[in-house]
Amino acid sequence: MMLMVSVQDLEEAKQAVIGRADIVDVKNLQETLIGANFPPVIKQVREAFPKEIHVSVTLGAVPNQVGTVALAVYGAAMLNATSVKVGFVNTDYKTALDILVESKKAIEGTNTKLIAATFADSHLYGGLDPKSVISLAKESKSDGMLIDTLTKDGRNLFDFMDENTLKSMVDEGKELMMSTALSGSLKIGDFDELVRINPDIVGVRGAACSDGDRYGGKIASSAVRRLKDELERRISGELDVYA
Amino acid sequence: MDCSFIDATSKSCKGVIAALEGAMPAMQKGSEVKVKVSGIPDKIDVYAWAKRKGHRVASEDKNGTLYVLGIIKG
Repeated sequence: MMLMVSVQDLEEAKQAVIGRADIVDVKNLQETLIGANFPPVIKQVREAFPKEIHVSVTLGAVPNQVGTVALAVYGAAMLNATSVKVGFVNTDYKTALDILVESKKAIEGTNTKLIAATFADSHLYGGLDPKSVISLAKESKSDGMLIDTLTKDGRNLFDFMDENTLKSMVDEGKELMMSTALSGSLKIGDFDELVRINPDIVGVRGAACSDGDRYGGKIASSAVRRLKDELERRISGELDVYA
Repeated sequence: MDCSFIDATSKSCKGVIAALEGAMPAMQKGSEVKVKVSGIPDKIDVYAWAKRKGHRVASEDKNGTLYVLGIIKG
């Protein structure tokens, strides 16, 4: 299970890598809650680390414009991102599928993976059923799926979807040979559930900040290292997640 | 009872499932395949896969960080 840490700039990315993050996920919290960062920032982060450190790019909740999103996805691939995440909120299923299909075509021949994302709390915003991420990813031949949350008020992923539902989705995604990722204000206190669900990737930000504040705080290597250590204690069996 | 063996310790989690999926068609219902995996995440994946596919994990042996799981085809 890989630890993905959301970062806003190179300095945060360095802190994440020093703390042994497997993936740095470049986003821009100033542009909506989960917006895309600027190409020079992504380029700087990608060029700072070897390929073994995955650099993912978040496009956030994308507009319902197939060509616009496909071009942004292409841009992420040209920046050598390991993966690019395309999220859907107020998008109908068919449009979301069209966007993913064209996005996949746009990065053909590159090493960048396409990740379809939905939000566990989408219903609060009149959005797409988060469970549809599996069929969206399957039908579009995306490389992976992510379930995140939009609400950043202290509630987290498990306030909106229960362990059994998430486990079933992750298992189905794995059976389809997709990469599976869960995110959404996750903390060490959620790690037992997460290890039982066993996604390929666990994403964090607030818990990786020096003061636990995803907005005001900055990523701190000590906080990232603690998260990585706690995850490994559970994966290795040192801590029994079924106890 | 027939029993085949898969060493999946060098495979990724998806590789473990792919190896099991590949082995199943040639097996008869009630026969057993043993799979060796390299840690708890792979073990969790095998249990989940077996349950979803109607198979049964009949045995689990631990050796250090390795696990050998015996799966009966359902």
